[in-house]
Amino acid sequence: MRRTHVIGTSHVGAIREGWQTVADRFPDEEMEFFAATRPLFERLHLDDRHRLYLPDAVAARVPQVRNTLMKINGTLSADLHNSDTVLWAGFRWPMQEIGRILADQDIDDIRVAGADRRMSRRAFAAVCRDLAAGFLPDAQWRGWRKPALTVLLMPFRSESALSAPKMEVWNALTARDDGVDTAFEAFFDQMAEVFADHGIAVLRPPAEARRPFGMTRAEYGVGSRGLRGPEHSDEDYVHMNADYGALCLQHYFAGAPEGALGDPMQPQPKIHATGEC
Amino acid sequence: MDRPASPYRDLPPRAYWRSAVAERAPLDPGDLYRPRFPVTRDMRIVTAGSCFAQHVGRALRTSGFNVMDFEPLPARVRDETARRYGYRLFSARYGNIYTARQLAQLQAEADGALSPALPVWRKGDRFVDAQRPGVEPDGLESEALVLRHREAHLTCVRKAFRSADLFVFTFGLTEAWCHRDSGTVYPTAPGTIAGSFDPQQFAFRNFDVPAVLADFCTFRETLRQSRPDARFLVTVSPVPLTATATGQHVEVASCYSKSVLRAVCGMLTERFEDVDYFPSFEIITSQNARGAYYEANLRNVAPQGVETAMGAFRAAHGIGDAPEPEPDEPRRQRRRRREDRTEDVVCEEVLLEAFSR
Repeated sequence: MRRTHVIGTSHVGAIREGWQTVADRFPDEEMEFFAATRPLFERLHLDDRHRLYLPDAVAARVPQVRNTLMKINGTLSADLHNSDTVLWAGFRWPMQEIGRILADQDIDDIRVAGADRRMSRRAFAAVCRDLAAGFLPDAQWRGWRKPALTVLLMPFRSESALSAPKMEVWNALTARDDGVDTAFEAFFDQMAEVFADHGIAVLRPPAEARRPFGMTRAEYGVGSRGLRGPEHSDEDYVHMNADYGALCLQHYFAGAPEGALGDPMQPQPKIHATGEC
Repeated sequence: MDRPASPYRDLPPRAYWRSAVAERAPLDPGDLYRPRFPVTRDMRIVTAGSCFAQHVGRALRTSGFNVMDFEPLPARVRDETARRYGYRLFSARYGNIYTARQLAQLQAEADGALSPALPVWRKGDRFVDAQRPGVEPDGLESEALVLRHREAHLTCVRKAFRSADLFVFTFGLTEAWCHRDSGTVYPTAPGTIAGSFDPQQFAFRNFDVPAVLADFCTFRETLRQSRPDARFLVTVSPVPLTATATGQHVEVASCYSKSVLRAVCGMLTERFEDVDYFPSFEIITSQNARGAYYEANLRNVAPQGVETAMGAFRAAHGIGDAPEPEPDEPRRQRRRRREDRTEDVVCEEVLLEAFSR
């Protein structure tokens, strides 16, 4: 039996919903969840015994956050050291920045869409590494031996968002999608390498759920639920549903590190959306 | 008894060496610069020039001026990475433009009026753009790819030049290497970063005042065809030559070079109302500074020198220090702004140092 603690922001909702649909197929997996809305999650502290908790100072300053955490999780803290693995869901990554680069310029051997600007493959790789490094979590999240830490990247926006305001980048990529997916994969490769250097595995958004222009298939955005249960509104293009969560979990189970790391400084296996390590 | 009448009588203190320099407090930049026209934060500023121009552009940017960037990278990318690939140095990714001839040539090329000779140089088994050999430090896979990159870059150059309300140019050098048959000028000597030196193909050229003046006038006139109201701010790099190919002592050659460039700036401001000169050269090389604005190698300008010069610029234009960051400005971006004040510049010319014995 392997025990996974799923932590993170509102995107944990999809994973929790998904788990309910696939739990029967993974009898050797045990899941526990601890989530908070993004502003609150970012204020949680992690101590050196891997306990994730709400600091008293924060609770004192904004009393309702204690209630919020209790309502979502039934507890105010998560003891991650009791788990074999930790899956951090909804992990932020520079989706918009990469999208902007691809909308504005061609990348040698990756994307040739007739843009006015052009970037070499090596420059793109260097830029991706820098962008990825900018999203490394704080030092206390790095170099874990047990539990092993995997970050599940935030999903691409639903393609239903294309008609929404401020979607110029994604409309541009939709109009010319040559190499867009390859470019995002190249970014994920760089992010996986950068994070592996810190003992963190990266689980990318599942390939089957993605459109070639860097968005999530519309069906995965239908019926998504918030952390407290109710469905998100029709204008929510960010959160995904139980099917998406189930897909992520299948990839996670197929490639998740087995408990403790041998050497936290050794590169971790990359977990691809297609499931292979 | 009345003193005899003289045109030097009753001039302001700034007109006399003793009061304006000798008695000025050390490292006080003094009242050297009085702008001919205001430079405001809403002007679209395009920058180009030698290594020192990177300092000027960066200082303008961190002071909140609207320095345009037509080949930008996301703010989260570190400056070190961006600069390694020629980003964030100038308003487009053209690298250092050391001579007025190179500037005029780039403009003509961007406008489709000129094709430089030997545009691609080899670097081992890779290829680099001979006009900006530093922007792809590892080179590219093929000659054709370099040309495709250049074509895209020229589009950005065209946009940059045609957008300028204020074009800031720092004159760096008079010495250059040219293609004998076509006159094409290059930013670095062949064989320094890439390519190979063939004396049958390349010739040394030390541009004199008439040549530099003519080149900048050509540039100015052409730019004004698309931007009739554009203004120009010219400076001279206070960074001496790394090496000279004239056969003279490098200090003598350096003085000649800077004198030519400074004379041209003077002539430009005499001739054209839309050209102003900012005396960063004088501020940094001033005897009043006693060499304090240079690094230990007596060549590179120290951050204090850059800050003093640009502080004088801001003060003259009634602009305070860098504006406070917006509350939602990313932490990394704020850090970048801090780093901007001190980080080193990218300078191919310094590679000539490697050839010294």
